[in-house]
Amino acid sequence: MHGHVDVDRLAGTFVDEKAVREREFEIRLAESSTLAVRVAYAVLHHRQDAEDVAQEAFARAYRRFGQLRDRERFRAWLVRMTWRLAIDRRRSERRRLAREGAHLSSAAPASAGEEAEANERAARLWRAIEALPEKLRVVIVLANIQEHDLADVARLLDVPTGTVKSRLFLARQRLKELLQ
Amino acid sequence: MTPEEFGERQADAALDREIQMLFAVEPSPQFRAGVRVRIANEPAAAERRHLWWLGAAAMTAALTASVIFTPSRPARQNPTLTGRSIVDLVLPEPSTSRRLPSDGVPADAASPFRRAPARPRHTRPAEPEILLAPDETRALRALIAGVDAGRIDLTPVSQATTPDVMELEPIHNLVIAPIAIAPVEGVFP
Repeated sequence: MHGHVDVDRLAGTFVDEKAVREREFEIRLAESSTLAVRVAYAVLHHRQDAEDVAQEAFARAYRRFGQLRDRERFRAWLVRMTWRLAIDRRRSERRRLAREGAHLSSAAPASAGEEAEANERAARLWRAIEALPEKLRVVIVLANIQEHDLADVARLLDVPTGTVKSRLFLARQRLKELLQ
Repeated sequence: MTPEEFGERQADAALDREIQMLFAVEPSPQFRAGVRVRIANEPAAAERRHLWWLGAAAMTAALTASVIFTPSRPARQNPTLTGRSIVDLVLPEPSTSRRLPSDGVPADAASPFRRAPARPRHTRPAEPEILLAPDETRALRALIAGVDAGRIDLTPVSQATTPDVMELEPIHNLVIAPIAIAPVEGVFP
């Protein structure tokens, strides 16, 4: 009949669309979980907190998934959101610890021999990375997780590759100075 | 590549390996399930957020309505004005202890008890005030006092009638003399 709307068919289309969207999100979640957790971990140095922040970032990404269906766009947005949430979490955690009279310490518990030396080296590296300006820090973090190359980092940060290259150079120089 | 450059690259690679080891954490097996739980809990959280907004909106509406529909009290006159309101003339005179002195400051202004609450400056009076000159105020007050004391009887005034149309005599012999204006001497040549 002319003008007749097949409600069942229309509903089926919506259900299909929702299912496709869910599947796409599931793929993004599977391929970007490590990225989000590592970005958060680079800021927080705490695995559980890092997972918590990364989960929050994914939940927010789901709400905006209509605008983030493109893979590159999704990953770039996820990195920015995770970084921001992790920074916020760290600030509030520091405020809480300051209120309670405690102090943040990234030093690992003391242990014997080589392990103690490795822990000390790792703690120094953490402190050196922390001392970097945020623009340099985010570049060195992204360049060293999941083997991202310069172009990947440039896409994630939405800056030119040359900018990433110069920032990475500066970050390495600064780190070497700090670690000497 | 010079030996210095080679050494530099080696040092960079070593540093990168160290950093990679530092960040080498993997999401736990429960990570994805945790994301799904958060997403599933989202509608409830969103609903709570909407309820909060709804409550805030209702409270704002109630406050606005109370401000709009609360009848404002008639404005008291400004004591610094020389004139008096007709409303004050008709209302009973306040007691002596509450009367404002000439400087406009209440006698009990220094008392911490029962001070009149400060009224907002921008309260609009319910009715426009009619200001009277001081001498008219005195005259009206004297008239009202006289009527109250029985010294002045207003009955004839209240019973007096005015004819709707005044009957006037027709004018028949009206003569208007011509006006002669003499020229002013010395003005024109």
